[in-house]
Amino acid sequence: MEAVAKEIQSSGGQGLGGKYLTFSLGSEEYGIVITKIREIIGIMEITAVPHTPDFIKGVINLRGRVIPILELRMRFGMELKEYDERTCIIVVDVPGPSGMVQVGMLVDSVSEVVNIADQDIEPPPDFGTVTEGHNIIGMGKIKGKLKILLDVDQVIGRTLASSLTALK
Amino acid sequence: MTDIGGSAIAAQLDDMALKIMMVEPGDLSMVGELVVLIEELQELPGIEGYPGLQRMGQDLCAVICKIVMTELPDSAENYERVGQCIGLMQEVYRKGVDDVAESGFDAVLKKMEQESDNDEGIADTVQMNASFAEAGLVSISQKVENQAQATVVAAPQGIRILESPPTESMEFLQDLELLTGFVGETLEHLESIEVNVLDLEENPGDLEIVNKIFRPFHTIKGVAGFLNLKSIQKLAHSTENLLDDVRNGVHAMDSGVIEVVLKVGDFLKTMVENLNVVLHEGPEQYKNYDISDFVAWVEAIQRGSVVCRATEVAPPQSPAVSATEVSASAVSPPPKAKIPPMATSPIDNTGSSPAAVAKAAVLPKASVGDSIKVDVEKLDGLVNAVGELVIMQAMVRSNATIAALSDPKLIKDFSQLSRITSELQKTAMSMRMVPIRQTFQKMIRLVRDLSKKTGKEVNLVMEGEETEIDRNMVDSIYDPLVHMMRNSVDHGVQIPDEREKIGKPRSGTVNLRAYQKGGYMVIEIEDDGQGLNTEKIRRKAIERGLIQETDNNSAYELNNLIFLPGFSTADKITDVSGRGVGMDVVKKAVEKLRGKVEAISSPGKGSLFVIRLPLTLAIIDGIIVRVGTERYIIPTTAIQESLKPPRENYNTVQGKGETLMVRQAVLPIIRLYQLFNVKPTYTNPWDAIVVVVEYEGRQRAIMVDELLGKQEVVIKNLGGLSDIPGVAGGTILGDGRVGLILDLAGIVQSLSGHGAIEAHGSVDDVDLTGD
Repeated sequence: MEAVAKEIQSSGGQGLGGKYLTFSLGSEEYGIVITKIREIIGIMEITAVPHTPDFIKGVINLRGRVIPILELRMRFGMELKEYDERTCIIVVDVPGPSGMVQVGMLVDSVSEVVNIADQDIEPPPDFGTVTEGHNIIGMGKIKGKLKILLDVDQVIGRTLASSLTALK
Repeated sequence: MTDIGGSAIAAQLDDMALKIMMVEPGDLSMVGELVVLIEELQELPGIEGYPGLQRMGQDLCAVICKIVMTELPDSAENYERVGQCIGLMQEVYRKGVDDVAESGFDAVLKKMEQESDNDEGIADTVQMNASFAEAGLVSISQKVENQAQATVVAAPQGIRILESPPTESMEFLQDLELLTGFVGETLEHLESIEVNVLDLEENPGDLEIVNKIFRPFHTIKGVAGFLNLKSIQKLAHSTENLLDDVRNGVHAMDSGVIEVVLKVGDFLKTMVENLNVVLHEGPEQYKNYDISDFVAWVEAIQRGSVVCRATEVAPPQSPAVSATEVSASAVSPPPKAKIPPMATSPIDNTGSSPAAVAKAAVLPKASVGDSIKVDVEKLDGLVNAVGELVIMQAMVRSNATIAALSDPKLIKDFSQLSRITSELQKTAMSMRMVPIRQTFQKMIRLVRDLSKKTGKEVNLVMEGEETEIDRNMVDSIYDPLVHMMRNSVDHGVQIPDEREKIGKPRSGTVNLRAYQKGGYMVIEIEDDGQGLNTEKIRRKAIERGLIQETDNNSAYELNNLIFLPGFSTADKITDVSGRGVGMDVVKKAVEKLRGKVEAISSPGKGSLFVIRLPLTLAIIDGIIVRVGTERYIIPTTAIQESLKPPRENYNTVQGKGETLMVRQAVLPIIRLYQLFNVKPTYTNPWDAIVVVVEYEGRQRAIMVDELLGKQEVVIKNLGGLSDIPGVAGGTILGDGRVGLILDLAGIVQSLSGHGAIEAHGSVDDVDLTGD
C-alpha cells in the first residue's frame, strides 16, 4: 500500500485526471470516472433477493436485463436514509466473476460532471486499514471542496465477488 | 449445516475430472486445457480455505508440465495416475479433510516422477502403437536411422512444440479477418476429411471419396500459403501429394494411408485451434509446432517405406508380420488377411460399420436447403432483442389504462400483435438450435479408435442425428456422451470370443439415439453387452455404507447408484475409462443443463442410458406463486400437484419438523417465507396453498400464499449475482417486475440439516453433493 501511495505521490496523480460524475451520500461528496458509467436512472421498484449481503438491495429490470442494486450507504456503513425524488441509481460496468457486468449503485443524489485535472488530485489518505484504502483512487479538489474519487472496480466488483464467497 | 449453495471448487474439480478422461497420449492440447483448469482452480475465491487442495493442485501442475516437456513419459499410465490424483483431490475436498498426506496423493506423484524417460519406455504411446499394429507394420526398434534407401523411419511419438521462438514472422496476424475465416473454414474441412476418411476405410476402392479428401487438403494448403502459415501449408502439401498419388493409382489405398491422413488431420486441427487461441488471447499464445516428424512420416508412406515403432501391442509372431510390407507396387486391395489377429481389423465388411453409418449420415446433408453463415454474436443479439420485445409487448398489453379501453378494434389489433411477437420469438429461438449430427459424428471416430484399442468389435448405429438441440448445450453434452460411450465399449461390450461363447454375434452394437419427446430432448445410449452387474453394485454400495444388507432395493435403484460420487465397480482401472472418476461427473454435467440421466440394465442383455434435456436453456415453463409481496417461479417439471391442505393432515415432529400428509405420503413442509425472509399473508399451512415438488426422488410440500398462473418465462441470470442458495435465476414478469426462479436442489436440500423425515432410508441421507 505504501509503495502504491508513494508511486501516486511521485507521479502527482498522473493520468487520473479526467471527467468525473459527482454524487452525494449524506454530507460526503464522491466522484466516479464517467467512462465507467452506463446510465443514471431514477429510483424504481427493487425485487429483493434472499441470502445476499445487506448492502445488496436486490435486482431490477433494466430494459429486459436483470441487474443487481448495491446500497452504497450500507456498503460504507452509513446510516440509512429514506428514498426521495432525488435518489438515483447509477449503473456502472465493472469486472465480475466472468467478464464485465452491470451493477446499479443507489445514491442520495447526483450532482454534475466535472473535469478534474491531474494536479488537483491528491493521493488517497492512508487510514492504516488496508482494505478500505483500496476503494479510493484519490481525493479531487474542486472549487475548494474535496470529492472522494472512488475506484468502482474495487468498491463494486470485488465487493460482489468476495461477499458471494462468504455465502458458500 | 448443509451448505446449500453450489460450489465453484467442486465444479472446477468436476471439470478437471472430465478433462482427464479426454486426454490421450500425444494429445498435448487436451493436457494444456487440463493445466489451465488446474490454474483456474488456484484462483477461485475461497480456495484459501483449502491449503491442502492448493498444494495438491500445484504439485499436480508441476508434474503435468514435466510430462509436456517430455521429462516424464507421455504415457497412458501416467495419465491414469493423474486421473487418480484428481479423484483424490475431489475426495479431500468432499471430506473436508485437509490431510493430504493421508490421501496417498504424494505416493502417486512419486511413482510418476520415478519413471525416467528412457528410450524403451517411450514405446507405450498406446494410441500410435495400436494403429500401427493393425496396419500390419513391423516393429524393429524405435530410432533406427537409415541413410540407404531410407526404408525405415521413426514415426512421430506425439506432438512436439519447438521451444525456440518462431523464426517465421507472424505475418499471418496482419489480416485478422482473413485468419478468422481460415480458422473456421479449415476446422470444417478437417471434420469433413475425418468423416470421409472413415468412409474410405470401409470402401477403399471408391475414388470419389479420395477426391473428397484431396480437395480440402488442396484448399487448406492454398489458403495457408496465402496467409504465410508455413507449417500448416507444408504439412497439407505433403499430404496432398500422397493423396494425389493414391487417386492416380500410383500408391495403394491402404490402412497406412488411412492412419497417416487421420493423424495429420488431428495434428492440423491442433495447429488451427492454436491459431484460434492466438486470435482470442494474443500472439504470445502462438505455438510453433514441429511438423518435421509428421512430414517425414507422410513422405515415408508415399515412398512405400515401412514405418516402424517399438510397440508392446504388436503380437509376438513378428516374423509372419514382416511379409506385410506396404509396397508401392501393390495396387490391389489392402492385404487385410495378413493383418495380425491381435488387433481387430477395421476393414471388416461383414457388418454395418461406423463408416457405413457415417456415409448414411453424410448423405442427407446434400438435400438440406441453403444455409448462410451468421456471426454468433449477431444471432444472440437478435434473440435477446426479440426476448425484450416480447416482454415490452406484454407490459404494454397489461397496462391498466390500455386495458380499460374496451375498443374492439384495439383488442383485435393487440391479439394480432401478440401472435406476431410469439411467432417471432419461436423463430428466433429455433435459430439457436442446431442438429445434434455434428456431436454424433464425432462419436464415430471415437468408437472406431476405442474398439481398436480394446480389441472389441463394435457397430455404432445412430438414429435421429437431425434432432435439434440448443447450440449452447452442444458443447456441454459432448463430454458426458463421450464418457458413456467409453463405458459401453470398455465395460459393456464383451470381446468377440466371449460374445461368441454366450451365443451373441461377435460384434457388439451400440445404439446412439436422439429424439424429442414431451417437451424434452432425449438421448439414448444402448449397448447389447453384458449389462450392469447389479450384484457387484449392491456389494460396493453396502461396502460404502450407502445401503444396508437388509435393504430391499429394486434393480433400478441399485443400478442408478452408479451415479453417486466416487462409485466405480471397475476391477482394474483401464486406460480407456474408469480413471478413478465415476458416472457422478456425467450426472453433474447433465444436471448443469437442467437434465436428468438414468441407467436401465438387463444383466447379460445390455445396458441403456437415457439422458433427458430441456429443449432450450433459455426458457423455462413455470408456475408463478406469491409469497407476501414477492413473486417466485417454480419450474413445472418439478411440480407434482398443488392443494389447499386440510388442517387434520398437518403434523409436527419432535416439535421442530413439520409434515403434511398428502395421499398417504408424509411430506416435510418448507415455509418459503421463512427461507427467503419475506412477510407472508398466511402463516398457517391450512390457510395457505401447498405445492408438492419432487427433486431427485425426494418430495417436499412448499407453502406459498397464492398461485398466480402458469407461464413460459425467459431465464435471466441475476447480473453479477450468482450461486444464491435456492435461487436459480430471475425473469421479467408481465408487469415489468423481476420474479425469482426457484432452484429446487437448494430448496429441497435446505431441510436436510434439520432432521426432516425422509421417505426412504439411508440412500437419501447420503450427502449427495458434498458441496
